[in-house]
Amino acid sequence: MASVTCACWPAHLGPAPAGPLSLPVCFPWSHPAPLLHRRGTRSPGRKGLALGPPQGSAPPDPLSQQLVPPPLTGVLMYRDYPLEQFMAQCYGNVNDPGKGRQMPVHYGCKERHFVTISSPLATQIPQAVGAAYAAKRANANRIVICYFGEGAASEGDAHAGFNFAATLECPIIFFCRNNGYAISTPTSEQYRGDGIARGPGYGILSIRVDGNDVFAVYNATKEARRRAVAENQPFLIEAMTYRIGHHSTSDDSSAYRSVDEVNYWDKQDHPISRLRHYMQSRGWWDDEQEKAWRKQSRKKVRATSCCRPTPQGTLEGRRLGFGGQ
Amino acid sequence: MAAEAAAAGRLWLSACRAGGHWRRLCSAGLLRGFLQPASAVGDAARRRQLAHFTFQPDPEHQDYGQTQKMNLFQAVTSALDNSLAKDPTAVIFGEDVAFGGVFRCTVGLRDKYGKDRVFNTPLCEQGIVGFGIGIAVTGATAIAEIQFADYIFPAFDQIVNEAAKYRYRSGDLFNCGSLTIRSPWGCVGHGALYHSQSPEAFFAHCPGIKVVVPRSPFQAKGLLLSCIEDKNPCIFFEPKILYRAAVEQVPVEPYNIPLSQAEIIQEGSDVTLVAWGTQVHVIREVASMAQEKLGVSCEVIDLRTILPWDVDTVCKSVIKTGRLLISHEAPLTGGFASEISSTVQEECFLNLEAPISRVCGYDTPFPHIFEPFYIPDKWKCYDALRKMINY
Repeated sequence: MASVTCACWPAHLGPAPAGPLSLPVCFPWSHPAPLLHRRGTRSPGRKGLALGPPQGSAPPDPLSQQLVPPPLTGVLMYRDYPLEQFMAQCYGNVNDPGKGRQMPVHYGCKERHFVTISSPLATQIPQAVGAAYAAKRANANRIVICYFGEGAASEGDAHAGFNFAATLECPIIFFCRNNGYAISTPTSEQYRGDGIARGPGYGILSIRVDGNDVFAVYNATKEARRRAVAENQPFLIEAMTYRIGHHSTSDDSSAYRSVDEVNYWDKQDHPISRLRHYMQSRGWWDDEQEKAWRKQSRKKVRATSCCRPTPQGTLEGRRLGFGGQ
Repeated sequence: MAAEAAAAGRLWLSACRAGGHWRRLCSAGLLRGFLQPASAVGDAARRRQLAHFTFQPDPEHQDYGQTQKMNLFQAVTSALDNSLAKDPTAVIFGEDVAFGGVFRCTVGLRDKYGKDRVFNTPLCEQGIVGFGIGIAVTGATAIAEIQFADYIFPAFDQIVNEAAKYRYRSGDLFNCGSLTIRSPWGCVGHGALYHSQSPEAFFAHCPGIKVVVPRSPFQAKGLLLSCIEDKNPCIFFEPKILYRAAVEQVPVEPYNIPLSQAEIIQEGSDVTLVAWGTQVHVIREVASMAQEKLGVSCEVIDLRTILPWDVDTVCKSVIKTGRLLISHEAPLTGGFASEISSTVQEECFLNLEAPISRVCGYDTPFPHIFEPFYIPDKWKCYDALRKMINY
């Protein structure tokens, strides 16, 4: 099996602590948050999820995920994916490693083990299981973590993936971000069972966590990873959160939900705010730093988006998309 | 032959009782097809064995070392054995492959290579292909079996939207080139709607994958090995009616037959005949009939790879002969003959002496009792050829 070189786990963070989390652990989480926010994404619940798991799943494990990029952008950002490359993919310009072939936010990065996103939902789930099986065979001490939303969990591919993971004993974490909506479809119209923590039906140990609590997500993922490697079995984590923003730039969610509902989550249960309050209460952060960091983030994002090299060379590439011949 | 078939039937029965597609296969009558009473002699037995073609083995190939008499499923087993021996990442999976497979293509491989390398999956084609893609993305070799080509459709999304597009959409950051999907294909005499289909045309419309159909055991092993080693996801359709009926000398060691190269198996000057899989043997016989009855010399081409297909060989032949007849079991409308016909008329318009002829299955589902009327047999092909000559 081909081995892929990967970024190192930041040495100064040491092994993940079991107790209350310290500044060195929290800081890398807090930093990408405003950057995500400034890029125009307004789904902080999903950001909580994004920033939680990768640290729990280090050294870098393959990430296979569904297209819901703003939140999972945090995952890539945590692995130091440059802002310029995010932008390049969105613009489809000459610097895009994806060669301008897909719509915006379909990121992928080989070095960071982040499998390129595709639009069809849930197709990555059985694929992630296959990758986990190969990792098990290779004795790599690696797992695969696979992200998807509660809507995608309705697809047949999700059922297929869960069943294969259990019967073939694959070291994989299925991470479902349940944010209450699949575009306009609320969860009451998506399923009638008890959420997506339906793993026990497949023989998969499952847990439901508060997706806006970054420590809860971190701890659950960390433990799932430890056991997945040790026991070669799948785990299912359902993280409950809320999608504050619209589904996409083509969506106006006031057509199907109340502003009050959105405001409640924005004000009362915002994962970034919750982390900030925690850090402030510990004396690791204050309003001054907050202000300065927001300003810096804004500047950074603006600077990156001003660079729009013209597309070129995107028509090169293999005939019929075949490669390796 | 009868004793062997009876033994196969017993293996069959015990495997089915162990769990699996008992109901599915029973209703298909495939079990009946393989069981033959030891006393089966005479006209009744001969009629039951009557097929619409006669398998014609190639002359023994001298260039690949020692050969052994193999039928088509044994040639497939040999190819898989070679692959697992030289590639430690290679794994084989699908429904019922562990005990040897419903067509015995994987017999002995689990014992030889271990249960982590040859294993059953749950009954779920979309899962099988998705899982296979995931293995291939890590760089390991994935050989997936879909039990009948008729059941490949749940995996259509994974094949068309994922496997075929993996390399392109990621800008070559990721690919699943080491995935091969094998599947029994084509009419078998009693398969009806769901054990007889030839779905190659659905996949021919999909840039990013390769689609291959062998006509014989020797071709099957060489083409399958090429598919497994090819850096693109490949679908390998195995004519199930040939699994036992086709027997020839096949090299024991691995060898490759190149993909996207059609083979001219008989040269001629008056008409070009093109087919793939079982139908190659039908048109071979049509070529003999044409020579004998009409004094017409036919050039017979086995296309072998459907996608990407060998445009040059076919066009060169039509430029020479001026007439083209394409034949396949799959329904006429939208069948792969229409792609060949369209391209040839573009490339060879002024060379054509007659309209291109397509002799195919009817635009209906594949029937059970009416199969002999449905399939493009040698008489339909001969009739079409005669019309072309007299045009």
